[in-house]
Amino acid sequence: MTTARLGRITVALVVLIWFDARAQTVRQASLNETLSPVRGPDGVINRRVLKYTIRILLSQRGDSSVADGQMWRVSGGGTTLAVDSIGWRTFAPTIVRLYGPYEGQDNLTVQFGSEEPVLVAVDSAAVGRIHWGFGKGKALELNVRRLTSQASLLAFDYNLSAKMLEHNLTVPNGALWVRSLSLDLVSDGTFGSKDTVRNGSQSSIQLSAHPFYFVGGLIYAGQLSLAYQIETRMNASSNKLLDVVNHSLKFAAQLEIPYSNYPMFALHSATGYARLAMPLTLDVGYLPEGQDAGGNTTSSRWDYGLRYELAFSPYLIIQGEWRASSFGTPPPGLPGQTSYYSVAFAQDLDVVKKSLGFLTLILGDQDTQGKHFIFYRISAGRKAPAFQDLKEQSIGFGTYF
Amino acid sequence: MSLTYSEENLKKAFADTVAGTNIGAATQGAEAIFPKLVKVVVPLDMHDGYPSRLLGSANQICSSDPYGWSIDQLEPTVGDDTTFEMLYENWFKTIIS
Repeated sequence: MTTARLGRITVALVVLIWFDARAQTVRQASLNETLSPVRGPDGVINRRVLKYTIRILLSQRGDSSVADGQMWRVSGGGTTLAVDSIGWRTFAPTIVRLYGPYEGQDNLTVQFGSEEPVLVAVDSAAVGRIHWGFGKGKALELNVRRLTSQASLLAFDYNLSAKMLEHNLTVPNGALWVRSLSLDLVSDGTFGSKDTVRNGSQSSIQLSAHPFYFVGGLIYAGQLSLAYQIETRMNASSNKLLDVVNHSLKFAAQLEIPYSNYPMFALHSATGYARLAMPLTLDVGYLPEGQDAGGNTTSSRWDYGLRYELAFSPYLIIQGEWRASSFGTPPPGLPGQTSYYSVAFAQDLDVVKKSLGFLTLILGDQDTQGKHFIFYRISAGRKAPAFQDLKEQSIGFGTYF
Repeated sequence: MSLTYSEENLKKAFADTVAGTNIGAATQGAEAIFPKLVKVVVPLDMHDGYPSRLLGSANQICSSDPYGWSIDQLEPTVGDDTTFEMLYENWFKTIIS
């Protein structure tokens, strides 16, 4: 290699290092909401306020200069805006928050020292008080089970929900607050062969409010919703699997009952078994008169439901569900009131695998603790929307339970 | 007076936040639940609302005495392989100030 070529390479390297040293400190900036406590004259926190902040992600670990207000310049709407205070902590050294009068400002930019200004992004999920956003909350859950009475029959229970729009309303002052409003698509039911889909399916588009309440140091959630619901079931005479038996409005409420899970919470605190202690959940719904696929008027109906879980250990999780319906005018062949229950007993497949060594040959010896479950379920009664009188026993497998 | 942001206090606040969502095992400390997968610990019926519940619990607990901290209103993203340790490092520590 000639001396001249070596020289050119050295110059190129120096230029590269110089450019790298001049890399932007700010990698990304976004408008954000930050909840801050406010202390009274006695020094005790008496309320919380929601402030708009600019949340900045740095290109690398910041030093003390990023906490210097003189180094930051914020512009919006053609004017320079104040930086009232700066939040930067050594345990999260790549994140800086600037506090100031940023609410309602358009085209915000932030500049560190003499570097290029960076546009502040407005993420609708992070500043939900003023924006609606698409996206999160999509979930599809599946369980597969086999009816014990007919080994050839497999059924897939599904539960799908997709959040279309969400509007955050976070200001938790006091023990009760409404976390958000949302517009969701929801569907649950069973698919499989015609002999296993006898309970039908329910699908709806719903506008919901999501209150939270904090009782005894634990958080509980609720949901109040207005929905338009379509109910289908198998029509035995026409062999149609998705026969629309009702479509109507639905008013619904779901409440988690405070303290109902406290015995399980206390047990898990003592034993260290890590599983959320599920509260007793109460569902109430009212469906006014609707129509079926043939244009016939369907009866109004009240639906009630309870769900509960007793998770003693990975060896024994018991889930129970009870549902009842009460008709304004009972449809032909149905009583005025119906009820349904199911009880499932589940075990973590990993603990079963440890007891039955041959399963290791099939499933491998990697740690899958808590990831796969087997269950045995008994169910009986009439359940919406098909209201067929059933008594079933099934065994199944779920990735989560 | 707010609590200092020592690693010990941060872990205690995280454990209190997780316990506030109804997971009793967290009362034994953050390390006890760190290796656990979030989706395994939370029953299937409650997967969908768990990130909101977690932020709600952080709001209520960490902005109150004795902590008295500010909380960025960002919910965590929970995937199939998310552990509580990831939540602590990648979410909880980044929303506290």
